[in-house]
Amino acid sequence: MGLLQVATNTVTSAVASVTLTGIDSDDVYMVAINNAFASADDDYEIRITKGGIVQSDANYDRASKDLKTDAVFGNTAGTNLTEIDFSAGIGTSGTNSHNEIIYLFNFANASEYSFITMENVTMRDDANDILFGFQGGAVHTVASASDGIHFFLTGGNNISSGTFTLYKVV
Amino acid sequence: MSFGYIGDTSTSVKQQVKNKGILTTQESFDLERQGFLGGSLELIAEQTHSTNVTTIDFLNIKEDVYDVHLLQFSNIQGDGTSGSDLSIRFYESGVLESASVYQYAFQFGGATGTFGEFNSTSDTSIFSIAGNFQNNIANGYVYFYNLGNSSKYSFCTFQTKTGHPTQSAIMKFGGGVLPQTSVVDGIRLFIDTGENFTAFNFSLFGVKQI
Amino acid sequence: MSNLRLLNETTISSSVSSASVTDVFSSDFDIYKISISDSDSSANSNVNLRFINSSGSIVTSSEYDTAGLIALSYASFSENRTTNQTHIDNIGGGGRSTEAENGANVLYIFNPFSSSSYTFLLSQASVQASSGLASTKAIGVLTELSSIAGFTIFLDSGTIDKMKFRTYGLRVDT
Repeated sequence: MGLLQVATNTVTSAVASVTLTGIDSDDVYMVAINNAFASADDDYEIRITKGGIVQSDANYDRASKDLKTDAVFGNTAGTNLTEIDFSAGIGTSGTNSHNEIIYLFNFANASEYSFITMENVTMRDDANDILFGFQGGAVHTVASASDGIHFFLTGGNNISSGTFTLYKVV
Repeated sequence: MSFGYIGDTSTSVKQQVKNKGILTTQESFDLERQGFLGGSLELIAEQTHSTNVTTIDFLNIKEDVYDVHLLQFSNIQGDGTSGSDLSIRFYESGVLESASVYQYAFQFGGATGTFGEFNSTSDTSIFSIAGNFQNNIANGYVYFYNLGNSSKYSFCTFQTKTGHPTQSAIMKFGGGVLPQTSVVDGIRLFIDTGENFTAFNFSLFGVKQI
Repeated sequence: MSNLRLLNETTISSSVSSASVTDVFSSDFDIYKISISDSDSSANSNVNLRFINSSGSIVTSSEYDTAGLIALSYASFSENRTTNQTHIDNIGGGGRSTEAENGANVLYIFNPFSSSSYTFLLSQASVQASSGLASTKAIGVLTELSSIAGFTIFLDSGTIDKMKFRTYGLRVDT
């Protein structure tokens, strides 16, 4: 078959967060983010949901290789985090959008952790507008069923626009 | 939902009747035959755990139909106690290739901050596309290229995220190759320590073509 | 029906200096997935990409940036960083004069048709170089606000003798 759409949210006026739920099987799920912006320069963050409730506990681990044009590629890692930072300077409009493909594994499995791979590309919104992308993954180290994914901004700014879509890969 | 025909977008098409988005059985058949209807991935085979096994083989992979395959996997677990790396071998015309002919290269990064490169030009498998996942689980995806093409080498690219005994979790991305011109008609997944798979979900898709 | 829709399949079967897929991006989709396979070339060369605007012109302005990690089976990995170039540089995959050595790519393209946002690219690829495997993970961007309808592939040197492109649109149902 291919990709079956589970949920989508196209933001056209500012919101504090976007939550996509509906993960209810052992299938692999994919999230596509397109042309996402912030109300002020900020970083996008990920949390997962369980029973529709956003999980803000300190159980997120992540690692990524950071591709960029202005310097030697970096490494980003952390354990026992309260969220997953998956961008580096989202802009407010025009050209500094965030675009990403995320795969979700084991979310519906109540006895396993929830895993994520992420591949993203953006123009980092700073003085030089640097091409930037995290390539890596993350995990929420709590063995219980997860049913969705939640996006928000580190600095408390709003998501001003963007399309966030959850698909099941079948 | 809107409908549109994309089978022929040339200027020679002069639509005379308003398209109401209703497809006849024959139109559906024609569109599906041309690859425009019915999906973009074909699930070729799925394997899930019922009993413990040391190897998992996909032996009917439709290599004569697809030149790009996608393998997705989740909840891969083993019963070993000294390292567990998910690895790949290929079958060439039904014969498992296990000589030191595989090459691979991948970037890895652990959540506690250990990053590095790993590669080989002469291994007996495409080693450790995911892992070490000892006492943890492995997840990820692999694209395979040219498996059924006897005039090309067989390649893959992958990205994975697994639990890790000391790094909490580890990510990897990279690629591998069997640099031999042969028809690959099977894929073997195994854990390099020879241990059992105690849980697994593998799904092999063909990436649709016309 | 799958939300990933096969839109176009283009096959190159005779020698060309560049291979193009035109009029494949539209307002119907914002994200596209492309596979590039079954390649062969007259010379060993990097594979590069340019976009084609909705007027049918290849965008050759110096407004392409690329960042790619090239994982090698035989040596330390290398980084490819380019800015303000006339193409997205070295997406990997093909560009080998020995047919067997040509691998393949999977690309994602974001926002090509919108003239109010940049066009972004994600790429993963494998190819067999003279000394061994080269597997590329790359990101790229065209920092030009124009409507993009297609793309073209070319080599640093030599011709493309074979290449197959499949372009899929990732549909969002509202």
